[in-house]
Parts: sequence; structure tokens; C-alpha cells
Amino acid sequence: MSADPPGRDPARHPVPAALLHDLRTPLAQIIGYTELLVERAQDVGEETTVPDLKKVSAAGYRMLALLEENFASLPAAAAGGDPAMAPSDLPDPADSAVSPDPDSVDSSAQSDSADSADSADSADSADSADSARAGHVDGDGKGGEDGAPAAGGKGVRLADFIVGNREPILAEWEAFARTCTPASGAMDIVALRDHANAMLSVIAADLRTHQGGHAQAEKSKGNAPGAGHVATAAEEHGADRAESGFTVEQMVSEYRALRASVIRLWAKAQGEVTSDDLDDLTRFNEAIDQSLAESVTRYTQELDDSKEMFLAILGHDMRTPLSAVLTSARFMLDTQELEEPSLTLTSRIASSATRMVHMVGALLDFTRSRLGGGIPIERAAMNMGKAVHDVVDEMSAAHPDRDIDVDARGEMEGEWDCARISQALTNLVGNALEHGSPGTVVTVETSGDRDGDRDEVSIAVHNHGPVIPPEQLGGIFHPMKPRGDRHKAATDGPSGNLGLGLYIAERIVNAHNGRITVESLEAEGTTFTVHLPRHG
Amino acid sequence: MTKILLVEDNEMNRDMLSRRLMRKGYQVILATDGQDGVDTAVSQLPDLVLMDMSLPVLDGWEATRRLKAEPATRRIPVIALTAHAMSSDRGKALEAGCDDYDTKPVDLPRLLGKIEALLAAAAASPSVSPSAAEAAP
Repeated sequence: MSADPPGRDPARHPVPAALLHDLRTPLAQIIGYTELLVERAQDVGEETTVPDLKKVSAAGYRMLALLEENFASLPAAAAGGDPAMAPSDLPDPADSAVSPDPDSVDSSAQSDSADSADSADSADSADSADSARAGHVDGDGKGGEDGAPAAGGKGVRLADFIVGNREPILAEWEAFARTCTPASGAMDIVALRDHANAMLSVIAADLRTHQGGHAQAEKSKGNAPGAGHVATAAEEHGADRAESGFTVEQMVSEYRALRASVIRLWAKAQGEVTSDDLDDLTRFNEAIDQSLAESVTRYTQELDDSKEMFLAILGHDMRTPLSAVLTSARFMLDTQELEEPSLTLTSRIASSATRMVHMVGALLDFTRSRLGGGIPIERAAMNMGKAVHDVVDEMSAAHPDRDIDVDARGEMEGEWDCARISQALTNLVGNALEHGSPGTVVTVETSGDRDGDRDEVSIAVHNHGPVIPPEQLGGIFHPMKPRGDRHKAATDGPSGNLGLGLYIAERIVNAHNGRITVESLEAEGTTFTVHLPRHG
Repeated sequence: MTKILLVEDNEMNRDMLSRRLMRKGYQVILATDGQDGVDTAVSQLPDLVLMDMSLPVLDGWEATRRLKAEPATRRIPVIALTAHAMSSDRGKALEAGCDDYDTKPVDLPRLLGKIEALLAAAAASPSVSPSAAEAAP
């Protein structure tokens, strides 16, 4: 405990880093207040309470360790990039100290040299192109023709050049990849070359395949057909890079390096440029772009999956020690024997632990909805007007300085999941209190409509205050994108400031086959309206 | 008595840490945002500043820069405090002029060690703020 925290940098993980911060804040309070109580108990000779208090403190530290351990289990890469490695800081493939040895470049590859190489690189075979795209070819990093000098002179088609010069291309590319530290530091040569060789095969085969205008247009947009559901070499490469800790900028730079290596070596070997060369170059660039698009898509997916799994495990693991803290604090308060300042300190431990319970609950709901197919609901007969009143009463008690007006009209009976609906309403009202201007009134209007086919209850939660910028409205229900000022949000919030409140509200409404809309205008303020079918 | 300025926007963190420091014999003065922190430091000339980094109005980095640019306060040691456990935060804090860095939850013995080390260094320096030359608690 006396050493500084380890240096792994959560900045590489935008979402978990924010989460780590948000969870550490109440934890810090739990630990700090508990240690204060221990110090005080020791000072006044109340040693009997010290063992229990130390258990609470230990539970706090256990949660802290869980946070760090779960975080450390994440792959190191992050979709948002590492602030410490801005794109402009990346080594430029064109400047890297990997200038090719002219002697090592085989400028004499000819089309017929490839025919005897490996089947994946056979000319004009669409099947081989698909096969290569599926990542099944030539994955050993060598290629059948490597090391065998190809014959011929200038005027070599690019596909043949690639096939005949894999080794120098891969050597140059590998030298660049090694500059992408620290991620590449622990990787061996096989890992560094992994799918690049297969991608070269894909590209070479692709260059030899006839391509119509439509296919060309689609490929230029990263939409090449033929990948199917089997992971392509480029997709596998993206997944590996995410796992290995490359930033997305580093991975993009690898492609830039591959492109630069091939073109530089080929240009060196070519004499005059022909129209065939230009066509090859265009198609080569498109093929690289296609591979890059596939890698980035897979890379992003890999990160999303790992983040969600991280959150699921974290939420689950935190529940037991958190429950121990909260139970102990409540037990101490229930004895009604505490005197000041112990009473205040213990109340604050309970309050911080309660906030963490909300956070962990929100985390579990989030991961359940993402990994388990949605938030489960159990419908039962209930009165929406009463549910709204109960939520508003609770929120008013928690925010005595704020006014919340309630209005309910029409038929309020229906079948919904009362606990979940209350949770969604709590999040919406909490959001309105959080973002509404101080001193303004938050209103909650509920109306039950039975009009022809329309049989629903709608709840409109309104606040005055800064409008939501139009560019944020579209993603307002996206998880972990809290609005506005996090300093303000850090103080409270029904989902504990994890940026999950609106997302969870939307998921709950969705699970009831309902919908939620938002409108934010300067003159009228912000209104979230929930429409819930009465019987699903 | 050594005077420590605690700049922290979270009320519970402020309350908790100030209680713990006062129990150790320090005088603690408080500020709730970066601008308040700069103003309080200039007017009260504390012996040391504990600066949360994620602050409203003026963040901790900018507040530290301003303290270090102001002749009256530039020699006051500043310890950055943050709930982020980022290694890059340390460099960023030191770059802004902070003299040391610590993370929350505060490990009190560790933080006290840093406070005392900086106070001792400041006392050894020829031109320190008047109250910093007084004995530590």
C-alpha cells in the first residue's frame, strides 16, 4: 500500500478508464471514512469495534484490487487510441529505418513464376481469392516461393512482383511493426508476420482476378463481397492486434507500411510506367483499403466484446464485498449507539456504499442487456400513476432543494414490470434534476390514452436548462455517453454517474415494447417522453 | 501549525481528507474549484497545496500552472491528487508544475510522507513562504 499504483495506463481504455474513476471515488470515501473511524476508536479506547471496522476497510481494499485486476485483464488496445500515442507521433512508414536492401529485392518476378508457387497465389482463380480472403492460405509466414528467386526483368505485373518478393516486403513491414512499441515488444517474428503474408496472398490473387466496375466501387468503400462468415486474414489480423495491444492508429500505420513497402520496392524494380501498372496500383490500393476496413471492423468489435465482458465480471465480483460494507455500515447505524462524529462518518460510508450498489446494479443491467439479449421483465398488474408518485416522492426526499411537479390524467392501470419501470423513471427524473438549471421545476406528466388502436400510457419528464446539442441527440441513449459536465454528474445520479442511466431506461422501455423520445429546445427545455403499451 | 490548502470539489472527499489531516495536526483550509483554489492560495499563502485535478471552473492542471506562474505562490509545493490511476496523469501533473502526485483512495501514511518530504525541501530552500518555515506538526 505504500508504493505508488502500478503504471498501466487506463487512458488506453476510454470507457473502463472513466468507469474506474467513477468507481474509485465512492471506494475512496468508504476506505477513508472507515480508517478515520478506526483511528478514532483507537484514540478513545473503543478497541472492540476496531476488528469489524477493519473488515469493512479490507472489503474496500478488496474492491479496489478487483477493479485493478479486472482492468489488467483487458486487452491493452483501445478504440479511442492512446493519448500518449497520437497519430502524429507514430513512426512514419516512409521514414522508418527499414529502407530496403536493393540487393534483396527481386525485381525480376514474372507471372509464370507464381504458377509454380502455391495454389492460393495461382493466377486468375476467383476461388483461390476467396479462399485466401478466408484466411486459409499460406498462413505459415513463408509462402511457397519465398527464397526462390523469381525470374524476369522490368514490366512485372504487381501481383507477380508481390508473390516473387514476399520476403523483402515482409521483412520491411516487420521492421516497421517492431517500431510500434510497446505492443510489439513482446511479439516474436511469427506473430509480427502472422497474417500479413496471408493478406499479401489475398491481394495478389485479387489483383489477378477480373474486376468489374461495380466490384471496384464496392471495394473502394470497403465492401468487397466474398468474405462470408468466415474470418478473413484481415479480420483475424484486426482481432490479433486488439488482443496484442496495438492501438488502432498503430494498426492503420501497419497497413500504410505494407502499402509503402510494396509500392516502393515495386517502383524500384519497374522501369517505365504503363497503363497496366496504373490499373494494378489502383486495385492494389483498393485491396489494401478493403483489408484495412475489415481489420478495423474486427478490431473494434473485439474491443467492445472485451469491455463488456470486463464490466460483467467486475459487476459480479464487486457485489459480495460491497454487500459486506453496506451491511456492516447499516448494522452500526441500526444499533443507534453511535455518537458524533462516528454517526456522521458511518452514515457517509453507508451513503457511498449505496451509491456503489446503484453503480454495480447499472453495470450488471448494462452487461445483461448487451451480452444476455436484453433486460428481463416480469409483467404484473400495476398502476402507473402510483409508480410515478412513488418515484417522485423518493427523488424529492433525496433532493430537498428541488421541486418536482407531478400531473396524472386518464387510465393508469396496466401490466408492466413495476420495479423496472420505477428504475427507468428514477433514471429519467434523476437525469432531469442533474441537467435542469438549479431553482427550476422538473415536471412529470403521465397520461393514459385509450383511443382506437392506441392503448398506452405515456410519461413525459421535463426540465429547463441547457439544451442538448443537436449532434448529441442522436446518441443520447448510447451507453456511457453522459451529457455535459462530469464534475456535476460525479456528485450523484441514479445510476451513479456511469453514463448508463438513459441507456438502461431506454432498454427497459424497449423490453416493454415501448418507445422513448427526446426533444430539447432552447425556449421549451428538454423533455423525455416514454410511451408504454398497456399490455405489451 | 502547518497550513495545507485542500482543493477538492467532491464534498465527501473534502470532508474526509480534511478530517484525517486535521487529526494529524495540520491546519486545513478548503477550496472547491480551481479558481477558488488559486484565489485562496494567493490570499492565504498555505505551506502546501493538495490539488484535485478534475475540478470545475478551472481544472487542477491550469490552477497549478497559475500558482506556479504567480511570484507569491510559485514556491508553494503542490501535490496532485486524482482518482485516475493513470501513469500518464503523473507526467501531466508534473508537467503542469506539481511537485508530486498521489492517487485516491489516499493511502494516508504515503501521502503524509510526501507532504513532509516537500515541506522539508521547502524549509531548506532559501526563499519559502513565511509559514512554511515553521516546524511541522
